Amino acid sequence: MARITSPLWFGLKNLISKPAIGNLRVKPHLTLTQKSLSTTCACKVKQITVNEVDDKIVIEGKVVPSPREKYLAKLPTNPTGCKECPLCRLGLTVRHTDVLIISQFVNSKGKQLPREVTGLCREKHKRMDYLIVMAEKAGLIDREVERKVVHNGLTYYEPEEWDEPHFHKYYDETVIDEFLYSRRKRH
Amino acid sequence: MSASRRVQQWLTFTRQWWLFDAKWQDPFESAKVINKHLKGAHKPIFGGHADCGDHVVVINSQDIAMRGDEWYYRVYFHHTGYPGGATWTKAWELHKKDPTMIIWKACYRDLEKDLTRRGRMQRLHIFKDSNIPKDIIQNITDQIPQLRTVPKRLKDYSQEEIEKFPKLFDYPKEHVLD
Ligand SMILES: [Zn+2]
Repeated sequence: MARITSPLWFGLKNLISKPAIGNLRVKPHLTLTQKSLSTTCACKVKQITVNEVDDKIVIEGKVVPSPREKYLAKLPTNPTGCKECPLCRLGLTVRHTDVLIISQFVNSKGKQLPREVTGLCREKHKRMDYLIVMAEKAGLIDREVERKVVHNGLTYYEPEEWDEPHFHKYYDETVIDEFLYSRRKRH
Repeated sequence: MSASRRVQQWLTFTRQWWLFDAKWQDPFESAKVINKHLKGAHKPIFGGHADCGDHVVVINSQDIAMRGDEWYYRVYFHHTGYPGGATWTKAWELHKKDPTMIIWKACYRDLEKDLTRRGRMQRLHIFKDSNIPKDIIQNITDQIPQLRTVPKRLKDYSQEEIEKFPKLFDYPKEHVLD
């Protein structure tokens, strides 16, 4: 490890056995922050429900069968090129109007799922990020995203007239290549 | 001349009526296709000597689509002729006032700037929705295909359709639904 990301990591280095450190080295951020350090699955939960009954809050974790199990697409066995992500293996070029595909990569609030869950490669993950924003701005999917940017202690909103008329918009996916591969000069 | 050849001759020199549905279409891309039919450039007899332009009826012009934020940065200029009479109108402001105007201006701009321009524009009939007068709809014989497919919102699909669509990946075992 070239640099130490957090003091926690520095302390753990002497406590955990070598193979465990090998696992940690892959994604030190994730293992320390999101998942607790335990050998068994600490959060073997599918759905968390919160109920309020007469001054009591009941938080319940249920193991739910996956709703996608029956309808999984068959991926080709001998792929060429990228061998991990489903989009490369199928050779799909997704457009921002393909809402049934885009909505699979999004949770109930409209945020993009991480790469550990979706299994996309780095390039396709970034590409999907742009596609989700395009579909949201074109009004094809709904998201709970605040149109607000906080920068240097100041908050910026989009101008009011930008939200007012709900005229149709469409987007061109070829600009994503420009975002990803070429540095664009702005004046 | 046989009867079928005679009918073919009549059809060649009559003015045909075309229907174009502007729903989710880019006005500047579709203006090129509309103008091709207004000039009659799709006919083999087209040339400088032949007045063979067709009529085009554009419906649903209030549902046109523009790329990205073009509604906000495309500006229409007008000058009354008096000092201080210049106005700049954004595309969304113009579309709010008159939903047929953007597609009219796009066609007018794309046509050749000569004496045939006004005559060709007279053969363009734009309606903001699909209510067409009866004397116009009875003339229509054919339809110009749309340039881009009309997208469907996720709301418009039923819950069963969304569930049964082929899924590209399954959730991992320790995934928490949220
Ligand atoms: Zn890939």
